[in-house]
Amino acid sequence: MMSWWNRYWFAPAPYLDLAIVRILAVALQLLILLVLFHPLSEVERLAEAPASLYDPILLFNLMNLPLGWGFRPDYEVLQLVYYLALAAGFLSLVGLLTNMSLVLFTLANVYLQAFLYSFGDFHHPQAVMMVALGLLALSPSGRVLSLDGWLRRRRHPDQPAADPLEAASPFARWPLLVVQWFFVLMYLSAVFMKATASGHDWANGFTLQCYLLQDGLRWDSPLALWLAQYHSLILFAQYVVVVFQATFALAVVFPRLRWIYVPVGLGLHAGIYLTLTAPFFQWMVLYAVFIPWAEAAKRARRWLADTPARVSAGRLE
Amino acid sequence: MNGQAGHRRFALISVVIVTVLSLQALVGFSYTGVQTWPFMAYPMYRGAHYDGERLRYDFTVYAELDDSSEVVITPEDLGLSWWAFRENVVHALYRNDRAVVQGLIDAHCERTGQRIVGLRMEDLGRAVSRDGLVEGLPPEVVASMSVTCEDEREGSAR
Repeated sequence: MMSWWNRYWFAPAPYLDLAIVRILAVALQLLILLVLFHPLSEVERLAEAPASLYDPILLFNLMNLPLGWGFRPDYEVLQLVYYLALAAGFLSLVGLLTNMSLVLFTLANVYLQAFLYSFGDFHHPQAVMMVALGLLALSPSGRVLSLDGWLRRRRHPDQPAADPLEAASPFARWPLLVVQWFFVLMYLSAVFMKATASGHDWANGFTLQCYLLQDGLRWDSPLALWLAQYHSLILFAQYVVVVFQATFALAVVFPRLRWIYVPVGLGLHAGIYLTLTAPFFQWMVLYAVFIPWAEAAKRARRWLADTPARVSAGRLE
Repeated sequence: MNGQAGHRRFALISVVIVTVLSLQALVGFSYTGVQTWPFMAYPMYRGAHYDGERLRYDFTVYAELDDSSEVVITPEDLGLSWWAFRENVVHALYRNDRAVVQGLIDAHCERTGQRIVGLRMEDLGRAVSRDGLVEGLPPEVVASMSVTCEDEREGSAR
């Protein structure tokens, strides 16, 4: 049993796959902090909210425990955490003191997000990103494509530089696998909730029409309102959603099926954003855990290396 | 890395793996609140809806004043986002949760000087059909609650 476990979670895997996920995840989270959702303005607004609205979530209470249960930080403290997140984020992105930077980046983002969720309002896209950042912090995600990697090579110039596409480790696979299985559990939760709340009634076409109309009117989405007119198309889409969510584990167990599940998933979340205005950018970027980046890069490199020979062969013909 | 250190590292990481996935599995099929974040269930869009059903996504909240006039209370009036207004006012009115609503009303009374005596929540008169949106239906009252401003309650107590 243990040897199976170790073979599954700790088979050698390329550092490159982990590094690319690190870069993409951190880059998106920085974009969210700076531009997309700019939590600092929301923090400022909530800092002024009445005390009756403040209901700190468990994790926020635990993070503030040394200061007392139910502690409510001032705006200045939250602002400091925000700028700490930005600094740690940039260091994580370029891969300097990568693991420590990622730990700080994760903690700062979790702290800010937990504060925002302590006023009766919470959303679902961020959770997996926080988990992913934490896992990356515990892994060798800064071994390549990083300043740490460059400095390491400078410190040991006598050692031959490892091919970044070939360098691998038994500790480079498990974080990606955990995020993959986390996706499976999130989708299974979604289909379970639909089944227990609504049973067979959920996939009746009217359900998604109703949500398209509600969110289309609320968020002024002409696409949602237009789409809501086509009952049969919507009914088909609902069946696709249920099958996709219920069977997503197949994409983890049979890697070839990612050619189907990853594009469908990206399309699903893009469609949800365009129609229901529900942004799941974090999920879309974290689909990077399913892509064998090093393998793709090696194929591209082989193809490019063979190109002169193919061109010459073409001329001879 | 020597064998023993390597085994220890494998073991520690295995604990992390089992903990993360177990927590998500445990919460994901049971609890739908936010207290266990980032381990959550995903119940979004789970409720079924039916042909002819009225759209209950957005509401108009009316405040009745002591001079019998009415004003519309918006999220901005209470310093809330749309989501926070829905969670703290709309859902509270549905549940008849006076404690949550009263705190916000008290703050509003103090800020504006308005003397609110009641709240009424109406839908927007829309429904879903096979062909899409149905509009122009008479709005329905979905919840109502009598309230008083804090200074008036204190005056009564004296």
